[in-house]
Amino acid sequence: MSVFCPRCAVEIVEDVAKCPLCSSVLVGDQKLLPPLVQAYPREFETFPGRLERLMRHRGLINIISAFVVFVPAMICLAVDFMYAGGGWSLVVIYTAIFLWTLVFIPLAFFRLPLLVAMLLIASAGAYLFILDMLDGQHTWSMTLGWPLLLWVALAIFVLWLGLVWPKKSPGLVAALIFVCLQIITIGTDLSTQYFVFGVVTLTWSLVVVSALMPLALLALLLQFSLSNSSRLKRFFHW
Amino acid sequence: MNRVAFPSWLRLDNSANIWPAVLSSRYTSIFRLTVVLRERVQLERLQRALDASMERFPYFKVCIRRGLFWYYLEPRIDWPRVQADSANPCMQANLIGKKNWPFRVRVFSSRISLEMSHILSDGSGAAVFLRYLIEEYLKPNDSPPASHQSTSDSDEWVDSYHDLIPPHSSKLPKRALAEKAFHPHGRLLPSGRYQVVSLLLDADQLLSFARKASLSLTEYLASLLLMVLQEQQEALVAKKKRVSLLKPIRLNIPVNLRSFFPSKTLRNFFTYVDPGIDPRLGVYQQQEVQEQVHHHFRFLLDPKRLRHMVDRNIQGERNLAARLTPLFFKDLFLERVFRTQGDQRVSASFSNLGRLSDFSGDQGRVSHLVFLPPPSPLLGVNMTAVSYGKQLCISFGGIIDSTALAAGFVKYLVERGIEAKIEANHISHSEESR
Repeated sequence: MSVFCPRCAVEIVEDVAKCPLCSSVLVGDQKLLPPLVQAYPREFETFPGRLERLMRHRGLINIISAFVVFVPAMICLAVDFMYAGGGWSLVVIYTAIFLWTLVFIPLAFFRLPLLVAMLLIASAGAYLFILDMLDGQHTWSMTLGWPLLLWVALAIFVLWLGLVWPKKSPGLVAALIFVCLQIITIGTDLSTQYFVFGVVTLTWSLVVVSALMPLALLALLLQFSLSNSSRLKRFFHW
Repeated sequence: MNRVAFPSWLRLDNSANIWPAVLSSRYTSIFRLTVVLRERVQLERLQRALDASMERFPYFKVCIRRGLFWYYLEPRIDWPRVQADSANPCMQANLIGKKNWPFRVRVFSSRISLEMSHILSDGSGAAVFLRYLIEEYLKPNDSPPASHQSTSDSDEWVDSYHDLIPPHSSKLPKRALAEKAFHPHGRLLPSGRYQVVSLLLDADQLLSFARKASLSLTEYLASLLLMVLQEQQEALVAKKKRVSLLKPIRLNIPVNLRSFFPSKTLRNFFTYVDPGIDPRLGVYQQQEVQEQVHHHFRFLLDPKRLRHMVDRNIQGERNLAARLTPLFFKDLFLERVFRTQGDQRVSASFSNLGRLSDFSGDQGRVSHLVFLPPPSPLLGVNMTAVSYGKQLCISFGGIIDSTALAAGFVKYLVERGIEAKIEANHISHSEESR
């Protein structure tokens, strides 16, 4: 006796419980199928993107990156202990761990880009702190390194907010990138001025901001004035 | 018949070489031929027919691989499986690599669809494959193939561009590059979506209109399409109040070179003609458009001129510097060439596969055929036509959220008293264009 797939609407004579094409549970009544005049199914086919295809091999990438990073670090450690009694190789080990986190974190959390960015920044902060503490006291990591990283984190958060907004468009995204660059510029200027001179003031960043601000406005202008241009949409489609 | 064992690899033919460079989630190079039966498809029978077809057409049982200088086709040891259809046809973007098939047979309800990449074959080649598949499906169990040869012939997988069009000893004159053409406007659908509208008409009724105008069906439909595009451009110019937006309107119409050169290949063997009008010179009446199209066809459909058109592409492929350029750089260059010298110069493409003779074993079981064009983000909407029995199916495939072209076409048909049934896929408008 023939059975039918309610999704594919095809006849199946083999003795199977599920459709070989879509795994739907088969039915015996043709009335439950889409009508013959229906030309296409309702379901859309989705395809893995380039990133998802790459991530299928993330275990292998992890192993290779660990090998590339840690084998030289272990050799350095052995040489250091054999000839110098240990000391400088710690820098190499910390650097190797930091470099490996740059590969491991994106591979482990590739579906959560904001988490990846924040974990990478945290990893960089920890690395800077450890480097700073090598001589037994912290001098620059908490007053210069961490503030710089916090400004970068803020810029990335703003960019992420813009990218997850459902009505994003190429012009708005471009404007947002320019705004984020301005945030990083201002943050860098403020942090370095405070670290070097002990004052909170803006100097060179004003020049950079004055160049980036018109670009952000131009991107917004293009987006809003030419929002109906399919030519632009074709050119910038992504 | 020239029987030679199928080689361990095949070069891509001249037309196919450009496609891998432009592949993307919207430029998939995949066209589709669908046979609509009057009964539900029987899945196991279709799988058996596909297996038999693969033995008959070994040059389609291949994957596309990446070499250092060119892509190539490599035979596969595994067999393709029939796949479930979806609401977004022609949208498989992952074609390169040993795990991906450059074609697939899909099924839904009473419809058997062959989706094939232009890297593998053109519409005529795909039609021969589809005929074998359907006749295998329709034939009674265990009976031999009826109306077609049952073994492959090495002439079917040769690159006829190279075999039949030898390099010229003298340098040929260069062809002038056409101006940029008008493109239908609309918002791009999200990546992976494809809007399809098919019109089912009485073939003889439309053919009688074409005959009255002393045109072939292809010329008649092309002139109607040009008229619709002209109206669209006029409406756009009126809306924007900018006459400077007026551009030439040009169609891209593939010509089957097998009709002009003695080829049996089932891989690509076609070139394009590009009839058009220039509305900057004034509004064209239908009679004028028909004359333009008719004379353009008559002028260009000459073996010497066709050879000239093909020769330019072949010369590029034979160029030593081009051959020694690594594939990565070649891809970048070819992608640019495709956009600037191809799609930017035409407003839409129109491909007429012609009338397919009845499948053996049909006996009224086949309702009609549908032919869908490959998607193109630059052209927006493309048109195709195919006839089977008394049914002519004209399809519009577009990745913009506008069906104005199909609607304009229907308006012209209604004005002439031609009735059309409409088939379309479901595009969710809740998913906004990006």
